[in-house]
Formats: sequence, structure tokens, C-alpha cells
Amino acid sequence: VIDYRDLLIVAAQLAGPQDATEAALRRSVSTLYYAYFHRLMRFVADGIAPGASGSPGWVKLYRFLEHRQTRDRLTSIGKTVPALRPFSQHFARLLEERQRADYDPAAFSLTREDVLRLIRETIDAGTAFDALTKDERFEVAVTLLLPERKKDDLQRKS
Amino acid sequence: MASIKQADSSLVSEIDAIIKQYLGKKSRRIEVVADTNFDGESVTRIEVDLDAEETHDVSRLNRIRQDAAQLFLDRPELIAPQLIFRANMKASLSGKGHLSDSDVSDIIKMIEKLPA
Repeated sequence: VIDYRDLLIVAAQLAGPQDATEAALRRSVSTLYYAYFHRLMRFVADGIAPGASGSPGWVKLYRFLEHRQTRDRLTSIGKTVPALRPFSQHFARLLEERQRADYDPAAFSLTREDVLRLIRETIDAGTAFDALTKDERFEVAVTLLLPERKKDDLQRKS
Repeated sequence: MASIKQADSSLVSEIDAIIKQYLGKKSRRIEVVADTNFDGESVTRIEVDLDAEETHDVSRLNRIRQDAAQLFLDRPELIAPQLIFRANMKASLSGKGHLSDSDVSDIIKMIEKLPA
């Protein structure tokens, strides 16, 4: 199983050298994002199917998340799970920085200091997950996984 | 990009009050900007300039982020608000604003303590 902490160390090592190149900084930001995306994927899979790590069903759950959908659902979760708000808000920025790092042909706007600060801010924001109660963890996992039902649908079914 | 002129001095004041609560002083500058993200979606960026040294204390920054997130919930007119801290390197004391090799080692130590 991919360990998000290994990816985080790679992100820090890429941005670590004083003379880190633009390419290294871009890869650092991208790796940082994917470290936390993998953490979220595992959070969902373990939250829904605890103890099933590595099984085919668990892998399907793990692979279910999509990037923008995850950002939007995290924002939505932040409204009901206050402890997760800093991470929810930070994730939106992280996704955007990753997209720029991966795809924007313009000169990369983040300096080495910016990237290292982004890594520290992300690690700190990510500690929000450790503070969640068991019920909140389950709620977050389910909300990340399932689409929100529209009010119209709910009215039609009732 | 266009500054949200009317969005406003009250929002800026409220964010500055949160910053003062955690950092003991106001920010160097706050700008509220209506922008688009890389996908072309509308976002509101709230850019906060701080002294470089202040941006090293990420747990305080996240407490600011936590309080600001509540503020944003109360202001639905802000589209996908993002609070972004920027370090003013020029104004930092000699070298203190820049991260050294030991800072990178500290980050790796932080990572090694994280739960799986």
C-alpha cells in the first residue's frame, strides 16, 4: 500500500536543496498533493471497509475518488465537521497549485521557500484528520464517497 | 483579476482581527481578489502578506485559517474563498526569513512522526 508519508518525504527532498530547480519544485508540489490525495483515498477505503486493506473491494473504494469532486465534497464537509475546515480550505489551494505545477507552461510562481512552507502548512492542516471522532471519520469517508442527494430527488422518493 | 472593492473593508477588518488575535499584530497587507482557478472556475483569493518569520509558524496560520473558514461560511457571496499567506522576504531580518537545511530536516522529522 502506498504510504503518504513516503511521498511527503520525497516532496521535502525535492524542494530541500538551496539550488532546487524549477522542475524539482514543480515535482515537489505535485508529489505533495498526491501524498494527501493518497491519504484521502486510504481514509475512505479504511473508513468504509476497515480491515479489508488490499482486497479487490477495498482497492475499488481506494480508487473511487476524483480530484475536483473530492475538493468540492471536502468543502461541503467543512460546513458540518468544523475540525476539518482548515484542511478542506487548504486542499482547494493544493489542488490548484498541483495543476499549475503539472500543466502550466508559464514560469512557476512558487519559490523554494513557498514550496517548503506549503509542505509545512499541508502537514499541519492534515493533522485535522487525527482529531476526528470515530463517527466523524465515518461521516467524512461516506461523504467523500457518495454524491449528495438533491432536494428534488429526496422529495420525489418520499 | 479585479480587486473586490466593496467586499470589502469589513471583511479585511475581520480577517485582520483574527490575525491580530493569533499573531499579536495586523498583517502587512490583505487583498481580496476575484479570480479564476486553473480550471477557469471563479474563486475568491484572500491574500495576506506577513513577515517571513511569521509564516514559519504554520500551526498558528492554520488556527487563523480555521477561524477564517467560519467567517467565510457566514459570507456566501465569497465564491470558493482561499486564504493564502505570503511571506515578505525583503522585510525579514537577515536570513531569518529564509528556510535553511535544518528547516528541511525539521520538516522530515515532522513527517516521520505522522500517523499512517
